[in-house]
Amino acid sequence: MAEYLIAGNSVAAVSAIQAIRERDKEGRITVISPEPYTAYCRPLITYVLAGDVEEWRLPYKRESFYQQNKVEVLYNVKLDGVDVSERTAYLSDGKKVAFDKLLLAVGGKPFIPPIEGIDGPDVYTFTTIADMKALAGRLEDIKKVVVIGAGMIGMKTAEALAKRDKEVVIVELMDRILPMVLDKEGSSFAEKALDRAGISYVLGDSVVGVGRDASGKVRRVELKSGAKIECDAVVVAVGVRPNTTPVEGSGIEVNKGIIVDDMMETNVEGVYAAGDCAESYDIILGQKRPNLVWPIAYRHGLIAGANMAGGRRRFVGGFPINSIGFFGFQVVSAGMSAVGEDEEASIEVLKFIDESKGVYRKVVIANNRLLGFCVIGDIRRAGLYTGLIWSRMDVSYFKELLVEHISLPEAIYPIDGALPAMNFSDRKNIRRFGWAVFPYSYRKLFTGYSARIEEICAFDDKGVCFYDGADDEG
Amino acid sequence: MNHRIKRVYPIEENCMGCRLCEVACAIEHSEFKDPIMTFFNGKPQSFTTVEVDRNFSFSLNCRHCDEPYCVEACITGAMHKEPDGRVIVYEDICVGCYMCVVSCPWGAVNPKEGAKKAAKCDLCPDRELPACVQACPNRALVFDTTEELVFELPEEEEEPFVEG
Repeated sequence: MAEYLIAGNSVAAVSAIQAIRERDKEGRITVISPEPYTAYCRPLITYVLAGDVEEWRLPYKRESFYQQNKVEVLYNVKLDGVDVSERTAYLSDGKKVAFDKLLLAVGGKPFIPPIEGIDGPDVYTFTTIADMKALAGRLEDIKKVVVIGAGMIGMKTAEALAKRDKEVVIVELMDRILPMVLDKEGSSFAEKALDRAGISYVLGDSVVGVGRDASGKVRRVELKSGAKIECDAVVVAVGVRPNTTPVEGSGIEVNKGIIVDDMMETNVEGVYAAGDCAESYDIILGQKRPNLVWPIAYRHGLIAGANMAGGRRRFVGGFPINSIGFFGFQVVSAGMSAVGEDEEASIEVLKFIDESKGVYRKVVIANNRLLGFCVIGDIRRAGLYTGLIWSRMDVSYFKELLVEHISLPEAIYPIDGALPAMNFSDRKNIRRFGWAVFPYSYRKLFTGYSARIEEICAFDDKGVCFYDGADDEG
Repeated sequence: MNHRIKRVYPIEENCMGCRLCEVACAIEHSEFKDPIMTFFNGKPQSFTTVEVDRNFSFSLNCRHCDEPYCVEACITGAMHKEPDGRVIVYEDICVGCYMCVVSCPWGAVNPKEGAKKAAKCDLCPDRELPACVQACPNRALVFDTTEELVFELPEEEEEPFVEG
């Protein structure tokens, strides 16, 4: 009977448990959970702080999931180290656990930049329930908060604090909001939403010092430009890095994250890594890098779990997919979306902007492939772009339609009512670019299969799709 | 795992682009279940979309994939695969983060009209045949288990040659 050990208890662990149990109903599964909770939804903690979502909705899986899958969970225990030759894991409570197959799903850890005075009370990170409870418990004493970093976590935390009637100032090193997702032009939409909500923000500046009074309480932050901002608390949200501390010195290869092959196995046989801590293939950059997003963690866990239980499944690659909304501003993006027009000669950027409606669409194309997109405002059917990234098909002959406001049917029948018109709200936007423009063979992929696009399609050396799953060309 | 689940398959050759499936879907999934009430008082939303390009069209809806992208991306567990193979969203749990909307490569998951929730095809659990399939006047939508569907007319039997 195989002994499975899973270090970490979030989405990668959950999908790994499901994948193992699909193949192996008998083996013993032990999960090491650093927190005293069942797997929960980390992005949701900002919703809870804002009061939009009740705390009971936090769990992603409940106790019954672990019971049904016969999983033993050790709560409040961390992985301290791994001995790969003895096949033993050392836990933070001093125990040793033997394993046949180990999954490292230890996640990420918030990066705290070296800033003077940052160690001490009133400085918070925001990635776990414990962080959320610490900040929620101090809300009554706090009037003004400085959020360092205008990324996903920073913006959602700022929104939550503003909803709890706190004054918030966002400080971002880059010259734009959501620097990983938006370019300067897209950021202006976000800035407008912040202005409307009355949130102040400082772009292109960084915090160099946290000023404290005699009792150690935070009183102000100092910026590089020399400005000082009075505040009672600081939230550090400058990013999350892969957590590689547990495997240091164990012989498991680490770069930025734990290096895995396409079976999600590390250089040590029987030791797998998944989720935020792993460094896997990115189909857009064509190289390995950590991708700290939820869907990739799920996929990692699924593949790793299947291989741990004796299957043979390959991770064909991934790319970051993001969706975030704050203060009435909604943006979805995938792949390389922040790249500007003039940054690289090989990259083509197409845009559609309608300021009055707050609609912005941008696609990034290189080598006739869609590499990324960003849609603000009307996000209906934005997933079609994601499908194009997955399939890596040649988009050169309909790329204008990708961002254009009207699509083919409306160009052909310009008068409203020429098509069977209905009272569906704002019909024009919903069919802005449709499947009709896709090649026949690609559409066959839709009608014929239920499997994953990226696993059906075949690609040449440059990564361009030459087989899209259909045998007959139309 | 669920290779034999019934799905709604479009047949391009038969589709006329009349969009009756969209109307039927919007009515079925409105609170009124009545055409007049749906389109004047409700928030009509169809989970299937008819794509038209000149003389060619087909109706596009959820594939109920074996390993759905939307389920992977769902941060709350609201989007999930039922044991019977349907992919459905629990609206009580959904927080409207729209990760499913951006993940679905078929564009079949969309924000719900007038609410911060995701909305998608549920294969009409109250009906024997999904509303879109029933409404289709030209058999351009079929509800079947077959993976690769070929719509064929029954072959005419050869008349036996009778001597004499």
